[in-house]
Amino acid sequence: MLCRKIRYSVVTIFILFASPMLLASQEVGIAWRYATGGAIRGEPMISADGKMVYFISEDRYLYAVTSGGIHRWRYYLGDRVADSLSVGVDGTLYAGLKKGGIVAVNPAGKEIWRFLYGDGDPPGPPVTGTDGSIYFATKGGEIYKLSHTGRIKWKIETSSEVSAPVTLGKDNRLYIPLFDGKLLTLTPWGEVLWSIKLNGSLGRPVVDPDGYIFILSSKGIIYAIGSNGELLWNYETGMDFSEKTYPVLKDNKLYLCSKTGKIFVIDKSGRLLWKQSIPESVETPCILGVRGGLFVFSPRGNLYRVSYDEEPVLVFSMYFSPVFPVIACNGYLFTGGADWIFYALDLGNEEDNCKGNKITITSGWNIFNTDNFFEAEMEYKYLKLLVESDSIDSKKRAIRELEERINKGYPGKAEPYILNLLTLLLRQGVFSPIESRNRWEKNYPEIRLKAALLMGEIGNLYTQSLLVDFLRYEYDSRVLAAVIEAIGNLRSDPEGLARKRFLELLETKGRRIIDNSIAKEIIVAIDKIIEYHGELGDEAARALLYIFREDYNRDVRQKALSVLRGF
Amino acid sequence: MRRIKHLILIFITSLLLHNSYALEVAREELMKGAEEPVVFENYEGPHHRIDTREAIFGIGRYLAENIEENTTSYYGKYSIIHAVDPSENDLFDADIFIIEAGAEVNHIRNLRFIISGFLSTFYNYSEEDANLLARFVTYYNAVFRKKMDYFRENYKQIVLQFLSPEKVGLSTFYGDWPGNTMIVIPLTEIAEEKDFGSIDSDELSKEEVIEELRESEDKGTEDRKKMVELKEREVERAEEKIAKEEEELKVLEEQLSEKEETDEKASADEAEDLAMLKEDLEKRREELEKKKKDTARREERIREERELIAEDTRRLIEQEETAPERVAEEEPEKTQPETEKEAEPDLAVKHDAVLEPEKTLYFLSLNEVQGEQLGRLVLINPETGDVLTTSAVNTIRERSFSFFNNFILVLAGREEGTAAVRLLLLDPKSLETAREAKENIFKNSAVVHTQDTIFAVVEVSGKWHLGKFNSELKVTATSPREINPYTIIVIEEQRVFVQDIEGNIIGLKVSDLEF
Repeated sequence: MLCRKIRYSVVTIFILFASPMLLASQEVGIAWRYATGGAIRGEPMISADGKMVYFISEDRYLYAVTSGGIHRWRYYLGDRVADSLSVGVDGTLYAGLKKGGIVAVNPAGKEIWRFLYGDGDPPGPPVTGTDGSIYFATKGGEIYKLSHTGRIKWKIETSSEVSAPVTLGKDNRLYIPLFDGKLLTLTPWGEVLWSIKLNGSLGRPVVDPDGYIFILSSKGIIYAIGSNGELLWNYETGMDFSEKTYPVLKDNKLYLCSKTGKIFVIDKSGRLLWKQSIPESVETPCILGVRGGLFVFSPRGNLYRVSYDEEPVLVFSMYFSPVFPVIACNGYLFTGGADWIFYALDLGNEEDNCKGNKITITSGWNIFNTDNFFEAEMEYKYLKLLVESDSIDSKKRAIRELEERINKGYPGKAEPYILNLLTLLLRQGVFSPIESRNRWEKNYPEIRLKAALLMGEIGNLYTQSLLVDFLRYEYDSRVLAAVIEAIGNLRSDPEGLARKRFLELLETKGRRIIDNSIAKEIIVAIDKIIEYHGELGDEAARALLYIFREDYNRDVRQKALSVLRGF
Repeated sequence: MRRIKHLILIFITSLLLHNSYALEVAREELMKGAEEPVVFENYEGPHHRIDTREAIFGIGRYLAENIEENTTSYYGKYSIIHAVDPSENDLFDADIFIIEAGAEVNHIRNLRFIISGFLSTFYNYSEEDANLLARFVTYYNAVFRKKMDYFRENYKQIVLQFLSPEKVGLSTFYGDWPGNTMIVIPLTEIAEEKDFGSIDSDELSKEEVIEELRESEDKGTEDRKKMVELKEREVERAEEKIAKEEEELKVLEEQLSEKEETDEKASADEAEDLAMLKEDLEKRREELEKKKKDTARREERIREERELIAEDTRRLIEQEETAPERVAEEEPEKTQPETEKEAEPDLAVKHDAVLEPEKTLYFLSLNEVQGEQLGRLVLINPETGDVLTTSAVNTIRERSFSFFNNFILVLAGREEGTAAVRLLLLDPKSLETAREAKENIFKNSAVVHTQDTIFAVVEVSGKWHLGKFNSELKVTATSPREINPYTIIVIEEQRVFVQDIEGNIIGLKVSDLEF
């Protein structure tokens, strides 16, 4: 009898203290797994529509797998990889190299360009702006901005090494956390807007749509900073946090997962809303589901669902240590493991929320309507006078000065108003002379031509959409050719608008306006675009076929065919 | 009468075994399910002493710390010869790890701890790396066991002079180790730096070894991954050294070039010095280029290995996700294996039920270990030949087992080293050890049981006595007198009869083993 009592007690004690495996509810399952030739590094990236997942592995490949687990392609990066992968607004992937470099790969898996700076393992992935620009920090504390075509826009040095990945916020402001506790904020032109000194070395900043910045320091303090650099509040958690972790922001709440397994949920005013604990340590940030469910992964591979009103529930157990888990809009949790396998976990009741997810590039003529930004700049005022003058010589002078400015090197903070002025020059005399006799006198095609070519040199994705729009209005064949050339030089055409516009031009303007030289420019531009994106697109194919079938010169038609065939 | 019953039972058993589904259960089948990529057969049985991991690791550490004139020994049980000859190129130097005749190691895990202890102490490897290398050392030496030609082609004379063709490498059977083992650990050219990269990981993970690992169920992917990661780190370190050397060379070459330009009227001595310096730099440049090529070659091999591992892992995942329950392979009809030998007259061995009603059969698979026949219990489906379960214990003695109180009673173990001979009760389904007696039993003891009591020859203060065990394998009584350990044990009514050390047949009360 006593033996039986003792046995029951032992069994009870065992169940109570047993491994969490015994308590796993297992509502979460593995949707699929993909084995690679190395440990998965860095955060996986998911396309905006949720259909594709990208990740890098120590076997030096960048992988593209559909969200359903079908392998699409992989690209050999050639060098050891860093924990660094990001995706640009036009779908281009940027993979970091351990020796210090970035490789740009298009969504079809072809390398577009490679930028090597050789400073060692970067502190985090590059970030990309809505204009296509790429910003990143190096191990040695340098900050770079590159254009989407891989040209250096600017480079600055910081006072201390960068301690965590940089973040891009509202208006493409760049937030740089430093080891010495400073948070540095730069404009897109590389100027320091403000900096603030905080306690401890800083983690990855998180920026909300209102421009507030939240950042965790190595002292376990979370700081809230206003868009002008003023400290709004701080909250001392008294906890240790892993270097990889940062606050996760959703629905005006901040979620923090500490090393000891304590989870904090704080509102944007710094008030603690609730706390919970899981019985294990945590090395990665909290993970928020599509429907707001909170998940936490332990280094032992145990996944917990956490809520304020219930004890954390172990929903899944794996034997691998997860690396940067993320939840996609389709409700799958993606994570790589040190076991060389990439996992997609089906969280059970997370719904697909990918519909309508699409990145759009701001287009139109009003992009640079930022009069309160550089209106006071003397150089701008002077050049604007020249641009707006009725004298063709003044305009030529303006063009010359702008060209010299551009050729000297990156114009820095002058970039926005240079593009603004070029836009003004481009617009001039653009209306059909038949429509307005007045405008006919103010027709400066050579100015527009030059302005277009310069925009093609220093432009970005905003510029690209502006130039594509401009094709609708331009009637001068030389300027048209220049604009098309500029669009080709900018290469990126994420929404296919340029290709669509080329086809429209061919079909509507007719042979009289779209002569051999313009047709050739169209072919060259399409070639550059499809090389950049790795895909032809229906409109581009039709445009090339159109040229091939029309009575253009033989060499033009042959070129169209060779571009079509080459793809 | 009882003997006749036994013989009839054995006869019936053999008839039942001889059916139209003649089968053969391959040795490999018996070892299936082992977690190791290369299957080593270890001692599995009772111990009278279990050394801690730290103590075993300490043997390796001792060997490393006591190398004098390139040799070291641990109390004559384990030795290492550090065989290095810088004057000979292109072949391997090696550390030769010898398991001497008096060695007690009988489990591959412990052997690896010793090797790991040596590698981490002598070459400053981290524990994790040393453990990994130790595993591959054992795989490598198992693959090239007794393949002296291979060693002749690849190792320097200084290594070969110590190797014996019959002992070189490592047997996969622990019983063969003492006095019969020379484990070769290949060294790199930087081994004298006693640093990371001293052990030649490429050699340890060469094609033959990888192919052997790939034969296992999990294709050895976990170990192979770790080895690739270790090699990647080695290459990275090599590249750093190359980059540094490149920089230094560049500076020296520039300085030389300047000197050559400026010293137009150099004296003969100075000119000679310059020429020597130039020659030296050229030589260094050559060596550097060679290192770069070697590193590039290594990187390419690592890349290939990564591809292979990825392929293997994908295949494993696919198998896991698509394959239904494993279907037993059809065994070709072969001659009937021998049934268990007829019991010796002086052994009161019972086979209460050899055939389980669910079409299973218990059998003892025997193996010779240093002159002894020791067994592993297996549960077989007699119709299909499928091995359903095997016991971890592989040292069952006296070619016998019996059913006792819903368990299987066996005498198992050895008397060498830390091993011991004990009574065990095995679970009849899983064949795992459910209980183990604490007392040492004579290795050739008769084992007799009634419904709830077991009698065997037990050690008491260094002498052999008759012991009475209950169903928990706890000793409840021992004979007052020393007995002949080879005695038979006969139970008749309320008495048990044995032969004492004087040769007298004595009858003791079953209840308390008193007269």
